[in-house]
Amino acid sequence: MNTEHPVSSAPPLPDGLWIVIAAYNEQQRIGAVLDDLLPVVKNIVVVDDGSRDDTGGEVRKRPVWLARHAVNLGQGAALQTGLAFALERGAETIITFDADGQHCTADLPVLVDRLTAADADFALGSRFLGTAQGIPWSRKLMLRMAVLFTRVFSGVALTDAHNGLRAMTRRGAQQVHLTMNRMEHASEIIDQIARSGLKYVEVPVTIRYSADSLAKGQKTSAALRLGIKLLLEKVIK
Amino acid sequence: MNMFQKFFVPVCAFWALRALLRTSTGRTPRFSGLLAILVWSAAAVAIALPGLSIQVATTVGIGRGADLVFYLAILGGVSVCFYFYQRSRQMENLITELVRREAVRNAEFGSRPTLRSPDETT
Repeated sequence: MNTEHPVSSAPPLPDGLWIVIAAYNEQQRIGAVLDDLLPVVKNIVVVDDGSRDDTGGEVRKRPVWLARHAVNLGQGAALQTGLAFALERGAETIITFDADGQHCTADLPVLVDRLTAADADFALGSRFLGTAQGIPWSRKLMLRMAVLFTRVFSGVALTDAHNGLRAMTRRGAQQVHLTMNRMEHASEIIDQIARSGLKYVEVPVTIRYSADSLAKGQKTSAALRLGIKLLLEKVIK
Repeated sequence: MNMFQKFFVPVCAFWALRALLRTSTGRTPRFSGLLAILVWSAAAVAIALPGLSIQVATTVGIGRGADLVFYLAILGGVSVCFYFYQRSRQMENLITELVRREAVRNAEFGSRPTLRSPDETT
């Protein structure tokens, strides 16, 4: 699966590292993602967000943890569940990873290295510093708008505000309390990182778009609704 | 008093009186009760004495009594929307917390054994 980035050349990852994966209806893809991760990471928790297919069954076939939401709550809620679980199990470093095969295992050591080298608490993946393979122009435009939104409303200057590949230290993860259950969590987490005052760095990563991931991913048409909800939340708070 | 006033003033007065009774017996929270009494009483007075709303509107520089009522209705509507949005968010957070606790408590480890047991890795 990971042809561009051979895993064998990557330095070993620390034992205290946990991978958190939020999965919803990923029966077709989650197996390959886990098979790619398992040779390099010992601790993985998949949060099955109330899938209607047999995502949980695929996960159970592998030596990883499975936490299951009784109902579908959204990616933000699933990630927060995964973070809570990993912290409870004593995670020292946590990486959030997508279930649809968009992320590359080879980026994991890079994220961890940057976290350590920069003495930061968050290493945020950026496809615009790295590579975005097969990204449609509409998605690129939407992501650029998200960057602008984050700069204006959160006061944080990032090159990629909605990248699901992030590494955080235990201290960093303890500052994250996602309350926005759906895709708005990507902006909420940036807000919380900025508010925490902890150091963050951006790291070039590779995102691979496929017809599958584009069909399932965040819709461009949903961007406006997402923006309105985020603004409403800011007014209410 | 015209037909409209004859019908709606008692209706508003009834709801104001009901809110008063429920608040005094503790069946409605004090703040919500007082708000309901205020709204229904104001509606009864505005319908019974239309000149009064015109007078108030002129005093605050709006001009027409109908415009004053319209603006107040919009403000009230927006406030109600915000209130219910906040309530629904609170409810959503409670449900999420419940589902999360259950998911974490019942988390299971996959079937294939690892070199080390999962508890030893942390």
